[in-house]
Amino acid sequence: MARYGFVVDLTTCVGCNACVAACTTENETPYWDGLYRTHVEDVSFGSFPDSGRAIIPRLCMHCENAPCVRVCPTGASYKTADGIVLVDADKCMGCGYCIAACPFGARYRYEKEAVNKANEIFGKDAGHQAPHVDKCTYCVHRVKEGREPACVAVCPAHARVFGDLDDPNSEVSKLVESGKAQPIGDPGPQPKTYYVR
Amino acid sequence: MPPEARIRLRLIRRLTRHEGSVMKAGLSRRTFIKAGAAAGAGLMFLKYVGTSATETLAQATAGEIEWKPNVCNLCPSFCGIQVAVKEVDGQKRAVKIEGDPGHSFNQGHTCARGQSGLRLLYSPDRIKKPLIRVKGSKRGEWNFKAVSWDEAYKHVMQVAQDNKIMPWEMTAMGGWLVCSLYGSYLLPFMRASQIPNLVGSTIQRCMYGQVLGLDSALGTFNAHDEVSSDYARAKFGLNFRSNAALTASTGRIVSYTEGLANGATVVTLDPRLTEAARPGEMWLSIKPGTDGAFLLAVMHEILTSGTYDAEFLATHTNAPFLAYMDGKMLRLAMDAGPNGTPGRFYVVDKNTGKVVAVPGVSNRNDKAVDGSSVSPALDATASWNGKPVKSVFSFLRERTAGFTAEWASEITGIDTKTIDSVAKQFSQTNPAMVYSGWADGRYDTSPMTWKTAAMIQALIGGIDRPGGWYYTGKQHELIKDYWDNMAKGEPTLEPDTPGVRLPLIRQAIFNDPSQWMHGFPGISEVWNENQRAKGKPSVPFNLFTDLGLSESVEGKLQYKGKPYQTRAIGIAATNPVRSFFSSEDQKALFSNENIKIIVDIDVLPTDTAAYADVILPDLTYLERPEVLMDSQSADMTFASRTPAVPPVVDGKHLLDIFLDFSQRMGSYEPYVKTLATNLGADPNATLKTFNDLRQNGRSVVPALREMAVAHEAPGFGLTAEKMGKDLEKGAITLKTKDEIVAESGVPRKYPAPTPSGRIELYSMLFADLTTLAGGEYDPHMDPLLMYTDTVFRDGLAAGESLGSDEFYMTYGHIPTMTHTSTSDNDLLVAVTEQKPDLYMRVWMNTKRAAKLGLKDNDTVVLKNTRADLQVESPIFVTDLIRPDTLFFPAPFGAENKAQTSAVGLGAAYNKLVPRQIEPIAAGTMASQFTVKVSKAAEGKG
Repeated sequence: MARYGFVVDLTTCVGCNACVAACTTENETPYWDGLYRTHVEDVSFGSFPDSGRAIIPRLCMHCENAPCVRVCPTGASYKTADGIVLVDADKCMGCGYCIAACPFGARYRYEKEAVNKANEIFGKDAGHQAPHVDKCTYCVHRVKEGREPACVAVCPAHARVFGDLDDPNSEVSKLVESGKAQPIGDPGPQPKTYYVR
Repeated sequence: MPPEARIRLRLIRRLTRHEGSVMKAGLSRRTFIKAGAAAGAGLMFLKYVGTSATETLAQATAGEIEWKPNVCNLCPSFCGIQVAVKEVDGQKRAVKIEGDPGHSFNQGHTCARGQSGLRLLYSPDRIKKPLIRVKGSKRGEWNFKAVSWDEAYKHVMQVAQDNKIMPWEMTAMGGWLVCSLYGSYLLPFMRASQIPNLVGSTIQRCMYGQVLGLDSALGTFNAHDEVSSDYARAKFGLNFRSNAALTASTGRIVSYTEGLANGATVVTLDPRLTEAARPGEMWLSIKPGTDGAFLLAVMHEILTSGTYDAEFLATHTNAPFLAYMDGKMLRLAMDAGPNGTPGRFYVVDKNTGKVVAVPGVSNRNDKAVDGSSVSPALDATASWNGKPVKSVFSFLRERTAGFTAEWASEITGIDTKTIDSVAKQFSQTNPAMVYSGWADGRYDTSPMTWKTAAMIQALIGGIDRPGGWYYTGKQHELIKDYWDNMAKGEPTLEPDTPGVRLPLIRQAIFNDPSQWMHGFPGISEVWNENQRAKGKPSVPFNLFTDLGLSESVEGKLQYKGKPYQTRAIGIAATNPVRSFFSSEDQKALFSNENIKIIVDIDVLPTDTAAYADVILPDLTYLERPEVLMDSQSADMTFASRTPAVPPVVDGKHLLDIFLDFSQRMGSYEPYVKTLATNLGADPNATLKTFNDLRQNGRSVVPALREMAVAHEAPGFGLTAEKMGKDLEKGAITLKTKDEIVAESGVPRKYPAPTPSGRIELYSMLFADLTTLAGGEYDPHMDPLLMYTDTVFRDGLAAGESLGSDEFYMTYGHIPTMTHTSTSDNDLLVAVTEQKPDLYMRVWMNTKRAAKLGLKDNDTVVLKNTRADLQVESPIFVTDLIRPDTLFFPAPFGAENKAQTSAVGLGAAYNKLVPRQIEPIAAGTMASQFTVKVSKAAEGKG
């Protein structure tokens, strides 16, 4: 069984935002409401001429010990055997505990109005047919077909890498094992999305 | 024949011993290649890199999704893509765009804009049917009624007829799509219809500003499409004025980040800490407009430390050519050849110390005209025809002697030690590379600045080798065939002419009254003549510029004592109201009632469409078949388009629209026959095919593609059938750059398309442009090298300070939005609005803002100090930009309310920029001014 993880390489990201656009069209998320499964933070620091700029793609950490799964009262929030944290839209009642519990801000509400608009924007068979809490799924529907997540496939800078952390030959496991890729943020939930700085 | 015409002809002949325009039926330039490549012989060189990868993609999603190959059209990168199509309720719907793994430029990736193409296809704002302006409404008002195609065409022809509009009274305006892809399809229409006026939007905005500088050394014309920087294998990279290139264009991002990942040391010069600067080793906040000085310090280091590639320079460039000063002009010691082509040049042989003649057109200097071996000296002093002469290289050393790091520091504002360290590191790293950029119509010093960059590449031998500048796969093909044809005494078809030789042929035609049945040459040439008659400066490289257009519209242009009035304008895929300078001037131009009819062909209701009388809906790239396309990769990649879905609107392919017009204008047959001849196809058979297709309401574009494939395939040892079938699956890569260079590298194996065939440090093109301009020396187009300060306004010479409320103005693009094609897109707008400060406001340094009492998001008035123009914008107060400079993100300011996503966003840069042009080719000086800043009145912004 695989144990899926992700590495973001901050050293080559050029802030093109292709990942945001690719995820949005792939997963039909409500961009018109400013809601995304992934986003690119762009922060500056320091005083000119010693200014700095950090461009940080962010997505769900798919934590080993996910608080969003623990707090879910209906079991809609769950982690698969291969480590992908998902939401069963049929079971989700929209209480929002998971949104509050996530220290990484990875979740948001896919509201009824957005579902209606999605049918308009993405077509009648749009993927979201019921309101629910939504999040990055590591594009599990693509992974099942042997394809990479949309954001990984699109990235021209090879700043996103996805794979099996337990496969010693995978790029993600090599980056993590070598220490080149480190977790960031709250370590408690044991995030599986790592960062190269 | 007037002297200027004689000079012009000499220039053309120097470059083109075989005139390009061949109208001989049945003549195929491929004949000798067909004979040479026995079936199967070339197969070991073929690399169908893509097809298997795209098949994997198709297999993975089989059953639900159909993948249709296409080429993105959101920007002029033309990345290869695959479009996922699903059938829902019996209707085909495009649901996803992915990069085409078989396309060597973008290698399976896209950018944010490419991903958002679906939102262009399904945009509610699209022009859905042909539109005619409602009677009584004014240009500028969005007030149109939908009509049939027939009605729209009838109306245009009626107006033309009622007003007796003559062909020379028409002007066509085309954008980057037309320029990059359809030049060879549009020009025969213009020629057949006898329309001598074409304004290319990119020409003055990026081509002549930046590209011409690169072209001067390489012999290219459209360097940003014809040259590819091999960042992946560079060990040291120096970037300047290239943020959009390195962070928006997918293929360029791929190459850049591969270089970074491979450990390249990258130094970026930019007034602000851009997305491109961030991942590199060093960001140097350079004073705007001074990059040329920094480059000269690098050049100085290379020359003084001896780290140049002496063998390359001596053998393949004109560095060893002997030259002399003629007043302020440096001239080459040369004898003219037949028809004004270069006959011979002179070098000093290192071994004998004697002056030796070398061939006028060649890629090598190591064989004299008498066949004996020569070892050309780089540094040389001699006597020739009684004149004291020195080598070009010796002159270069003299001219650069003062360009020390200290000198550059004064000008750029970067400290001496840093410049010295970067210059040393550049010169000592192999391979190092100056990045070749993408566009830069910013300053009158831009052409010389980019010439300097090209000369640095030449000095280190960084052409057609790993970690250097490669000619693209397509350019290599054209160059090789051109010289092979010449050796066999065979002509090359005009559209297949490589590099800068092609526009010079075209300029000669458009500017020559004898080439037009009515005797009227292009307006830009008439403007030139009028300038010369008044003793004023004229523009030597004026092909496809807007020189004289406004005078012609206003009725102020005369030719041979007769009025030369523009009374009809046809616009295709360009948005002058938003992208030419100034916005107000453009609106005034189009509003002029002397123009009886304005036709605009586009997909969206742009700000320019609002000034049209008739709007014709083009089809988006996702709905159309396409001609054969090559790529901006150094590998040889071909691609094309298959409609992903049937047309969403009642639109037509641009090329079919040209044919529709030509049919009504009586130029259809010669137009079609020329198209056929240009593709090596039988003109009469093509006429029949086109007639059949058109009578059945079908596009001719697939037929055009078939013809082009038949034209190309044999040269790669393929059958047209195989190549055509593979293109239906996706992009095909037939040769890698290393294979190409081994066979036909330029200049080591084949001559460059420069006048002399060498890589030219001394640019014969620039020398001839000076002559064409009237002969008075202008340092901006010195054929070798001359530094001039970028002057931002009178009274601000180097060393003077800006006023307390005054700033240099810079502009550029953001990764999510670049051209008009990307602005009215709801997804791109949404992603952009995630960072309103960084992406949508004018950047101002924190300390300067504080001094002016300004806070983040305050709205300010920017007043141009060189022209009575101003614009308002909210500011982004930041430490990411130097104190003396503002940055204006350019792709905003849409005014047409019909653009429901773009209207009202950001500010319009072209409201601030006057029409100011540089002297060589009327390149825009879009950043060459300062602004005064004041807080906007309350209640605004």
